[in-house]
Amino acid sequence: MTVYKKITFFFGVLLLGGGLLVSSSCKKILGVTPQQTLDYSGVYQNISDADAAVVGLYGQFLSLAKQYVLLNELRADLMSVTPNSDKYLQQLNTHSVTTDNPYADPRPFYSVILNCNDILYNFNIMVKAKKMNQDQYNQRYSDVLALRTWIYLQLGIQFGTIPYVTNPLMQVSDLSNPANFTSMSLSQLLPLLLKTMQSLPYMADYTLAPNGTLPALISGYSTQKMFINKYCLLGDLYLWNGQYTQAATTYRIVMEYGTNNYTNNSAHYFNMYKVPNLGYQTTTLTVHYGNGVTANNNLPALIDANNDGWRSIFARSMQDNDFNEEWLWALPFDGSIQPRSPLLDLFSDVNGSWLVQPSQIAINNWNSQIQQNNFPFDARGLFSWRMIAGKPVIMKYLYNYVDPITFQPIALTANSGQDQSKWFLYRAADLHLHFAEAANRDGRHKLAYALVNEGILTTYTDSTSAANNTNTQQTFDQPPYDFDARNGTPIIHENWYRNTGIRGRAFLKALPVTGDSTLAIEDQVISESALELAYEGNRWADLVRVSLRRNDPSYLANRIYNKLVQDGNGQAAAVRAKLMNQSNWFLPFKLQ
Amino acid sequence: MKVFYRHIIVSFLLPVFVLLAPHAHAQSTGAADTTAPAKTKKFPHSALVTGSITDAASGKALAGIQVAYQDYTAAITDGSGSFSLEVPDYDVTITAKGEGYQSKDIALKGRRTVSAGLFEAAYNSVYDVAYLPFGPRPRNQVVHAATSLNTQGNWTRPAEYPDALLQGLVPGLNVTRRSGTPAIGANLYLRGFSSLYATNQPLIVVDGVIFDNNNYGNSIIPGHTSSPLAFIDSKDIENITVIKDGSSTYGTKGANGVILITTSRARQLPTRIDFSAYAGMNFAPAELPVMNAGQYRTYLSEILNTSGLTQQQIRGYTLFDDDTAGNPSYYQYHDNMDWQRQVFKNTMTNDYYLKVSGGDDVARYSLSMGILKDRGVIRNTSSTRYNTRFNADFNLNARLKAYSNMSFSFTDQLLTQQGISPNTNPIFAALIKAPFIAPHVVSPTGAVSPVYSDADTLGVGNPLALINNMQDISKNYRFAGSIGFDYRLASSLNLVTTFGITLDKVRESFFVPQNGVIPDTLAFGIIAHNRSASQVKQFYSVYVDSRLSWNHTWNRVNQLSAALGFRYTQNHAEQDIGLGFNSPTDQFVTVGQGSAALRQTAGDQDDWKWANTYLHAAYGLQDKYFLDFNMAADASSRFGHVIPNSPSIGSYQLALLPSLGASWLISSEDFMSGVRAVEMLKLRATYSYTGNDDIGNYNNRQYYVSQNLLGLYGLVRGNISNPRIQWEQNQKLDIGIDAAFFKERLNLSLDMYQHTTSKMLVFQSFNTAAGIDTVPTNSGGMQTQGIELGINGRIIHTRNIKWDLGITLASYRNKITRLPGDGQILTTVDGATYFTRKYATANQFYGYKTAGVYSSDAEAAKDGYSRMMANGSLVPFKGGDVRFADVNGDKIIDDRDRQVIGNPNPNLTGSISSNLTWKRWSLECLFTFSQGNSIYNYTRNQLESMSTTANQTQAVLNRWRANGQVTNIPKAAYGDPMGNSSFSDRWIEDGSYIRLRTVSITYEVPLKPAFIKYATVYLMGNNLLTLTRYKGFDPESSATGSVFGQGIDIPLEPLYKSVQAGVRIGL
Repeated sequence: MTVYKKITFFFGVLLLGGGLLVSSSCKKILGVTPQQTLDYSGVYQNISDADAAVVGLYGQFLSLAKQYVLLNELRADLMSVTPNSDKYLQQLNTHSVTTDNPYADPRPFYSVILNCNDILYNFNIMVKAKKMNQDQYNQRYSDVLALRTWIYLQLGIQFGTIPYVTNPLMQVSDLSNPANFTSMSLSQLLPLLLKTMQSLPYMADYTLAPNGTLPALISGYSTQKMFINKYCLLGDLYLWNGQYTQAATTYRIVMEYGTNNYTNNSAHYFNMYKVPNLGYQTTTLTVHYGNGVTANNNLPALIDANNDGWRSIFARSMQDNDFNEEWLWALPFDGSIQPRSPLLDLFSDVNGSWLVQPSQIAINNWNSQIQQNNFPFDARGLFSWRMIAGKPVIMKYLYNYVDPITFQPIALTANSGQDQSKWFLYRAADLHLHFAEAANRDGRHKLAYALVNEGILTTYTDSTSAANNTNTQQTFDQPPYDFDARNGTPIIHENWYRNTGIRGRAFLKALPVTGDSTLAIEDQVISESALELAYEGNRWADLVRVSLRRNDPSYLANRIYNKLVQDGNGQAAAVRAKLMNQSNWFLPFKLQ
Repeated sequence: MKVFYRHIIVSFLLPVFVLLAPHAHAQSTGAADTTAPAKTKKFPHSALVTGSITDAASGKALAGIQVAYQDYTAAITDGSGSFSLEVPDYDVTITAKGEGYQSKDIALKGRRTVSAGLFEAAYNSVYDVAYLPFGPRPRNQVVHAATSLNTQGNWTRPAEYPDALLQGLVPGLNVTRRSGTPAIGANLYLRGFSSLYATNQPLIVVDGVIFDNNNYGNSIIPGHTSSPLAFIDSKDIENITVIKDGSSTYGTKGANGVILITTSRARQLPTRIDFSAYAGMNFAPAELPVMNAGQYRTYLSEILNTSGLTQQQIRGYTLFDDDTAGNPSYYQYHDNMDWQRQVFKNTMTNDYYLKVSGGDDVARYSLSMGILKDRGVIRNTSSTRYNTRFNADFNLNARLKAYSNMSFSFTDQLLTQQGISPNTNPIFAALIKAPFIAPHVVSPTGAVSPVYSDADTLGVGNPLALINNMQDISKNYRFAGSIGFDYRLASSLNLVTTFGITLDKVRESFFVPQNGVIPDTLAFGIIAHNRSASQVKQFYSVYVDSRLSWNHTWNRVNQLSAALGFRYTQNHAEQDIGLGFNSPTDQFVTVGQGSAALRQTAGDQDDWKWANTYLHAAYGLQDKYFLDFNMAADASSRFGHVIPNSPSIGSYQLALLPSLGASWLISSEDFMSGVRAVEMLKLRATYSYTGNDDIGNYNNRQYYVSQNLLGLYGLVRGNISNPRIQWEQNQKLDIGIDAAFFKERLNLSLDMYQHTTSKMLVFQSFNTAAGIDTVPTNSGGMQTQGIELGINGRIIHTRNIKWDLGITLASYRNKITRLPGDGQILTTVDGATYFTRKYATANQFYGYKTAGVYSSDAEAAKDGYSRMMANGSLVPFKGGDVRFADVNGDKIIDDRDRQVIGNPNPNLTGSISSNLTWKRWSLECLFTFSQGNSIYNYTRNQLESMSTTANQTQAVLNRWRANGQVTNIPKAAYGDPMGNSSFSDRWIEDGSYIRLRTVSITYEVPLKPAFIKYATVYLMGNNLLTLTRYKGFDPESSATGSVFGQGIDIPLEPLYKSVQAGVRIGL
């Protein structure tokens, strides 16, 4: 061996000696740095690099949109396959997914996680090396860690048991170390994710340009709502974990965002994240009719437009005030910038593949609601899906893609960029429904009922004291359940006075409560969620969460069964039997 | 402390290298001088050997032949061919050589009197010189498996490019020309392949400098490849030596063997001028038998019928309306075109070449210039090469020699788009285009306009527009220059340095017009009516080779030559692409004239560096026993920094690659003196370690790629780095025999080898939760075993008639020995699937086996097989569907029923050569053959799938139409819902062939010595005869150099027959 070493040394010396002929620096002889890609040595050097990492992360995150929508909706009961669907979509529909199913491939989720882990690892180095200051670090680190937590929650509810990776996997040898891939079940995962979120050094939104370095606008799109809302995620984790008071407390922080950040009497003060009713005086997000209260019985007058009414929740620009009062998290796709939205092809029939459609049971649910004017349907159904050329088409994602009146895709020209759409992730309705769910489980049945139905003011108005509202129109509860909606005399305009409730905003009648009120109201919350949030990627999580909470697989299994039965799918009974076993809820995890 | 010590040594070595810098490539300098050595040395005990030298053919005594013992003693034969020579004893070997004759070793084996017959210089002799990396050496002393070709200008094959030229000449070197397009190059596979994902092409060294023959970045012109080797004019080549083992000295670049090319230098001082001119004709290939207008019209209505259209709707199409008067489009749709004839054409080739050489005692030079214009067989295409080369040698003083090699070549190519580019490939369009469509716009009355008709309603462009209005241009140049010095430090100690640079530029552009071409659809649904593109590819390389070489002989019997040196290259490759769309009219053809909003750019840049330290020692004992040791220590920018079991210097890990070879010249032993039949017999064996450094430039580093968020660019991880990434290691064991019998009338060379690749690069997939698809790792292995035989002999050997016959045979078997994961890889290329599995050949075709066509629904129902549609429903097979083999027995025909259906690797390759000379005439023939290789006929798949409205071959006339019909062609079915045309043995054909590769007749014009010293007239033919059962244009084509992609025939310009006539004049 020593001979070998000597030979090596001899050759090495000769090698270096020869090399010095060409260049005087050892590093120059054989060192190269990639030109087309960026070498590790050239990243994470300053705050711009840190921002580039965050921008890249969210750019990559967009690639999860299609899987997110399909896994959460087609596996649940509101979405169905079409004759165009391939066998993999059918597998999602009938819970018979095989590991080669591309829609159930966990790898894209882990690609984003790999970048989260890489960023977190390197941000820690950067802050130690003073390449960014503590505040910059806190904001970015918290955002990236929250995004990773959100992805793990998704993986948990889709796959059940998953590898929990936090290592940046810098070298191939890291891949063969099992310690980097700890396996975790959903029940193990939830407390861990919760703990992670509780540990964040920063919970508020980013400080964007001009006060911060991250841009406030990208290609004309406001970045305000592109980043994950950490409070909402933390609240959701409490909710999943059965910590209802903490969940409600956390949601309440977001619900009071307007109160805390805007001056009294400004629009945002009363409206932001409070599900307000603005009447018919201005453009609003409510279901309403165009020619005044008195003409409410006139169906053609239903406001069905991109800039007014409930439909405009999905069609408004991200710079729009009303949009910002409703939306907490949404990412746009631009028609002229890659990647093109994968959702247009998924939903649209014209210029698209129309791969999924509303389930019959979803359609029936909307059709069985009664409006305040006694019209027997829920207008949100009309806005969520439409019959186009004889085909039921899910519309929420298409309003910026099709002509607002004819619903035909706008002719594409070289620079039109009309095929934009958004990936919807979190809005005030989610917040209120989740708050209601937590409050209900925390013994606040009436409050939950109020938020889901007609709002605080209506529900808490004591008819005996109509003339003086001093001791009415409020919950008289401790935080986080202390809502004050007083409006009138002598107290005018308390900060919750505009809250109209989810059903109120949809111009629907309140629902009666029968039987065990905890369960009945919880059922109402989940049903309302189906009507309000259909196809926005919430349904599967709702069904899993409630089924787990009630320890009742039939809660989930029956709903899937009903969908398949109503769609005329012959496998309905078999699927139900399968889903009665909780372990069959989850997708097979493709290991390699 | 250790570092300090190292610094001392480095500081010591540095001035040595800098001051005494630089080599010549020993390859060319050694043979340059043929003047007799000075006999100054004497040995104490001498003996006298006498003998006679004759002409082997005529038996006549030869006068003036030099007979020598090493550089000690020499004698010249007298008028009776006799000589007497002083030698130290009677066990030595003496050498005889003379102008116009071969050089020959004569082992005395104890004899005091010897006689020998000499063949003419051109004879393929076992005593020929092989040009090895460390200098020329007689073949009978070489320990390695090497083939040396003294091509001497290749005057009989003027238009051949160097790679194609090698076809059939080297046992074990399988040359596959990429296509018939001039200058497109060939894939060279020396002894099969050694790697799945790294290069399998041998290293090419021209005049001592590594010649980078790779393409960095694809051509923007579909189906095109630029081939740097095509820059070299074959007439400049003097010798090509192919080293199949013993390439260890090139370290991690030697895994696939080395081809050493030596270009011509001035041999003599008087000025010599060689001029040659050739003209030739290329013949359009035989057409593929596609349907005529009538047959196609019937097919068309049938296929449309299966697309869901009703008979009535189909009859409504104007193209089916046979009413001359009432149908204004009648003449547009009632032609009868032979579209292939519009694309292929007989064309001319021209070649001119001039070489001037000469010099004086101090400087010698050789300057050559050539023009080669070849037009291929596709109309409006051509390749014109202009090349110059200037080689010079200088004797600067008694100690210092210098030499230089400069070449500059420029190639101007007019091309067309080929391969799988269905909208723009005129060959493909000609095959599928409806024959009844008129090529020009025709008025309702039948008046023909000069304007080409536009792309038709069936979705096929006009081949005439593609031929005449599409532009595809490639202009390339390469400058390769080197200078070197050879400095004699002491009597047998030299310092040799070569410094070379290569500059290469490829400039490509195309324009696809609107008229006559199917438009493309861009992202976001934008229609691209016309398209343009331009690309500039640049390659830049610096090369240094310095060595200290030492030659010494002890006691006359121990010969040692040793060298210790260092090679270094630094390379940069760059690619810049611009794409333009929708220029205002077809007259605006550049990218800049396209719509500004749609313009796209792309590019790539790569850098890599390689350093190689080498030790070479060749020891010979008594001219009978030879031992070669080579060792390389390589470092490279591509290697990782924590390679297990690899030594390192600083942070650089070294590839330590030794080789040892030995040979025993049995025929020179005394006991063989009685075996008169054996002229020469040598046993040799080598064991070498080599490597392959084609492992990607940056896989050892963690890098980041840009990621767009609404137009703002951020960064995301591009990979998981592999700091253990290393060269593939290739161990080569070779055992061979070289022999010559009956006074060299019969020569043979037999080799058996085993090549073992370990640390083979594979793209390994890991835990899904890693979030990245694959990581390149060195976790594969492969083994190739083979046998090669080369025989040549002189069958007729008289004064006036000489007939030489040669045969080469080669066969190999490849086996994967190691793969990570589940031990198998499926690779899909051009619709074909390759299956690579542990313990099996690497790249076998993997698809369905078929057994004819169901003659009726009832017959199909008996099998009860079905196909799963995209939506998951099962549809049973019916009459007229292909009967697939159901491997797993589930009665569903799907991916799980695939099996191995072919192997693109030949069982046997080789050649037969014949050279007959009669007085001043000579006739040379070369047959090449390949046996047992499968070809996936992609083109036929397209032409017999019967799933679209494309025209098909006449084979489909026999298609299934009605229950009970027995045929082997399935029914026509639009969109092929039952997968009848999926990748199956229906498209796999036997690619065996034997081809008359070249034939030439040479006549040396008798001239009295005057101003014109000699004149030779040539008549030549290429590819004149090919015997094969293959149904495509030609069984030889290779669109890609990758292992995955071999044996796929896509629509490329086929190889064609050609003839040339030419004259060479010496002044």
